[in-house]
Amino acid sequence: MQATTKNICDQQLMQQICQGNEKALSQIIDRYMHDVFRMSYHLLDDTAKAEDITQDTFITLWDKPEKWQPSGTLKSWLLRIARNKSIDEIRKRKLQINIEDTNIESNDIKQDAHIFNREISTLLHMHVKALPERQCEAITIVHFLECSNTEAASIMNISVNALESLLARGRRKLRLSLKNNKDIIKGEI
Amino acid sequence: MTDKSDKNWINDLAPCYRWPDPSHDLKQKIMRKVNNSNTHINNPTLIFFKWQSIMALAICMIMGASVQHVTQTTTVTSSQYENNIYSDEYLLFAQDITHQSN
Repeated sequence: MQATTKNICDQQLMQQICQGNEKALSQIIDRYMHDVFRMSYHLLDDTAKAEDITQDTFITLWDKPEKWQPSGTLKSWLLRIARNKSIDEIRKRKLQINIEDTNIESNDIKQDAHIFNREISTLLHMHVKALPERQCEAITIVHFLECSNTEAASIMNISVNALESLLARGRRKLRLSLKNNKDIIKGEI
Repeated sequence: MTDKSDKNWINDLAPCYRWPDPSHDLKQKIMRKVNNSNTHINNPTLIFFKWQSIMALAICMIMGASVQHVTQTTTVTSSQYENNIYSDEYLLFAQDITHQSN
């Protein structure tokens, strides 16, 4: 991103996109592509499909920029589009996650820090995926994509109270589920 | 366990969850798709040339078009190429090749 355009706010960029400015789209992609991709990936567990949905999400933004209401953040709007597309995909596939298959023996963990972190990441991902769908979404959006509770409630189309309840239940379940792997993620919880 | 300490441990784990990264060429593919979507809508000859394009694609494949060539020429990312067949994208790729050979 160029220094001169760094401080252009999302709203200004969206106005430029409405006028067909591809450079503005490029900047929006720089800002939010990773979040949109990770949102889909963590819901679907499928890199190719998550990339597909990321493409579709930004194409939707390009085709219908007027649909964004500046009363909400652009990030939450994009995540909502990606989330809805991912949920549609999940319904199509009826994904089944089997946590037993994802247990990692501590002997398999390599000492190399990078690989070790990747193992923790994989393990964490599997445990979050094993939560009930709504709790998984809430945890992913708030704790891992760093959205506020208000933004997350808007993305999931629920009240802030309902979101907080999902978060509390999700965190409790996740902590309980991760306790069995304390050796692997020693120091992390 | 209080709700506050629940939030602390999970926030400590958050960096472990910020992965994976999308393909390095995903942004480029999105920008290309923006262009292609316009071309697609405004180009009625695409359907007419469908068979010609498919034939061109077949020749390209027989002649050994690489994955890299396909991903550089179309909106297909490398991970999508490995996992899926995107007929529309291949069609556009074939069309590009047809234009190049003409």
